[in-house]
Amino acid sequence: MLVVPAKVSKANPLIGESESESDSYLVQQCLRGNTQSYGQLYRRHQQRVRSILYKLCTPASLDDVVQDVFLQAWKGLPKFRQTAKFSTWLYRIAWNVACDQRQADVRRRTQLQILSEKASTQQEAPELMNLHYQDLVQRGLANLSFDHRTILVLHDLEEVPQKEVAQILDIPLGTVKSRLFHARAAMRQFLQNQGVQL
Amino acid sequence: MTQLPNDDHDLINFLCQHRPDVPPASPDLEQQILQQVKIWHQPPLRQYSRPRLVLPALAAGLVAAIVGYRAFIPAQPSPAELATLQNFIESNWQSTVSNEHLESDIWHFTDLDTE
Repeated sequence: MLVVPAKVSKANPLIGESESESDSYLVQQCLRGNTQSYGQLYRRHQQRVRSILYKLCTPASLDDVVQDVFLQAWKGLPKFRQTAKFSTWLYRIAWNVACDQRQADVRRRTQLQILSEKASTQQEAPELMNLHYQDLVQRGLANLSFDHRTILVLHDLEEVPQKEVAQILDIPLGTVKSRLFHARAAMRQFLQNQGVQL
Repeated sequence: MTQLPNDDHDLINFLCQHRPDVPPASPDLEQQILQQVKIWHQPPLRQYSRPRLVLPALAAGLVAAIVGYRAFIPAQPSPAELATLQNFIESNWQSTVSNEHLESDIWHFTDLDTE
């Protein structure tokens, strides 16, 4: 059984109050031009931002996209309302960047490239069961609409609470629930078609 | 209204268990980002709000108006120019009030009267 420590760890998706205050303090320092504080914010949030971006848009160069997110966040800090949660605001930027990346990707990719990618992943998948399932999940996500993928990644994979997801995407909580329901149904259907019984 | 099921534990467990591994960041990514941030070095508070721009704009407008006014008004004449001007006016004035002119004007008026 996994025991969650009393002190909030970085891996915990539910960022505790003390950590939020600390984020807020670091943001204040950044607004005074302290770039070291921004380094701390980066180290604290980069893993989650990376993970979200990777699952949402599978960019060719993940580092470049992550860099884009953090540079946009730095530029946008004066507009950041201190009443909001920094992580929520940062994930929204990540989501926007993922949307742009995805649109650019759609324009760039040819059908041939997509087919060759699928062929290569199918070849290496059977090597290990775990890799095979990882590949299935990745393909299942890619199979979903962008809205459904976003909801599934943020809520089910990154464990962001529904209320926060609603804030990030600027949609009502009811819409989050509804999309989540349909996204899970589509994912389940995809996995079943691939021979996975849940 | 249809109630949406809140959880789908089997699916969520499967997804979490087999979530794709995220490629690690390059070791110098943080440095690159901070380097970029330092190059801009416009900490976000450098952005000016509109009210802050009003005063400098007013001051600049005022200075421009004063400079423009000074540039367009004629320069003060020198004493020599003033003396020349005075001589010119005096000579012209004298010619207009000389007896010849007065007499001729009177002559014309009297001509009119006799007609």
